[in-house]
Amino acid sequence: MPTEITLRLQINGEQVRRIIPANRSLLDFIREDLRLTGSKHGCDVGDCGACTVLVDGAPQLACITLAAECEGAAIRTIEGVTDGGGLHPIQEALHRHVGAQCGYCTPGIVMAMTSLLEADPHPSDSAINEALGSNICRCTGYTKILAAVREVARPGSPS
Amino acid sequence: MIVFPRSASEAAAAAGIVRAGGTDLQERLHKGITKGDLRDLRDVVGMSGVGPGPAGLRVGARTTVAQLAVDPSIVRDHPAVALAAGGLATPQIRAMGTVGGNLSQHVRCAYYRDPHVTCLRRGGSACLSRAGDHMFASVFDLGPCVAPHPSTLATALLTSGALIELAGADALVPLDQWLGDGTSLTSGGDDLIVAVHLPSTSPGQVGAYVRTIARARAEWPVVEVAVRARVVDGVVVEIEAAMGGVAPVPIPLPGVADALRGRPVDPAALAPAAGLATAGANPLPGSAWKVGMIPGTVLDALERALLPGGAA
Repeated sequence: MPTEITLRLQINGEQVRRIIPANRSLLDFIREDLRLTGSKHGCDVGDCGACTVLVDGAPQLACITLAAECEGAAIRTIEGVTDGGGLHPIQEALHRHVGAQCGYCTPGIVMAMTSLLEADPHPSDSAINEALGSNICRCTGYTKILAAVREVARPGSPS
Repeated sequence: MIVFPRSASEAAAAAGIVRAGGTDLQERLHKGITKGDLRDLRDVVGMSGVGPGPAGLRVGARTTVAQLAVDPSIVRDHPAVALAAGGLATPQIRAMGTVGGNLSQHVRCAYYRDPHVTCLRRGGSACLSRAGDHMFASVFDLGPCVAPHPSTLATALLTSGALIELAGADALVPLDQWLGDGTSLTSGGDDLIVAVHLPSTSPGQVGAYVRTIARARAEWPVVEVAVRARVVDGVVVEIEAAMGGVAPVPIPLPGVADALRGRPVDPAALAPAAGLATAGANPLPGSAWKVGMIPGTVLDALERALLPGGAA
């Protein structure tokens, strides 16, 4: 059985080819091999969502995803959430609403909300709640996060 | 070490721990309570999707839980299964987790998952939960391990009389037979499930899935109940119910179903029927409170399935 594999995938628009241990998690590959440390180690067992990245546009828990499963995939991490390096509207809204306190969950929440808003620019509250259902925040009680997302989803309406 | 077999037969012939969605396995590997080579089903052809099968519908074992929840034929013919699939875990877990993996996942007991102790299920001499913390343990104490069976889909699939297609086996195995009776430590084991088969149903199926949990979402159930029924001209002509989170295996509720089958739908009859679900409960001291959660959870499921407009 192979102990190492050659992995080819796209990270934030760049093609990457690496020889990695076959059992490497996607999160360890992103953080340790590529040194993109924005995606966080939280629970490490798929419960908290701090590690959320986009795999072919869909939010995915990188800590319980094998990197080997992502052969040929397009991965977006928090470092690539905008093209030019500025803040994404979700990030700006979270900043305005103080939706990040300790900030550890924030990259995962931004990625989950980015995926939601790219699929549906004006989601309902229930769709927002569902899309946030994989992300745990121990600081905010979610109120400020929801206010920020609603502001982006429905500009001008009460949040 | 890892291999990627390309067919079910290749996968069956390969060595190593079966990996599909990995939502349970990766945690166990991280914690070091499961060790060994992997056979990853990523490239196996013919193990995903819902289609016609010899019994009715065939659900490939690598079909994701999220796919199962919205598949039109499952929603129409086995609504309780679809509702259970849509109601378990979190959106991302449902997107990754598979039908076969949900059935095969290991128990969620904190002692089993703790690499620093060795419980009965991991080769120790005693169930540590039985003598220790068992607040969320079984209330039907059927076997040596008191951890509840973790599979929500198994609970719902019991109401549909599901059959399991195992790699290398000639015949389909009834799900209840595959799960066992909870009296031994083996419950399904680490078989390679190829597909789950659901028998055909008559038109007009209704169903419900209810879980009692400690928070609004994303929590393991204290009690979970699935109900499948068919009502014709106000009469319950078919009904099956099953309960999870309370025993080493999901348990059918024949007493509840028998009390309602063949009778007109009567809202006043639902609570007495739901009360029958606690028959035979023999909880541990710390899990006795869960018995009190059972009648209300069963009643909620019965009301959602049988009453117009759902629960009162």
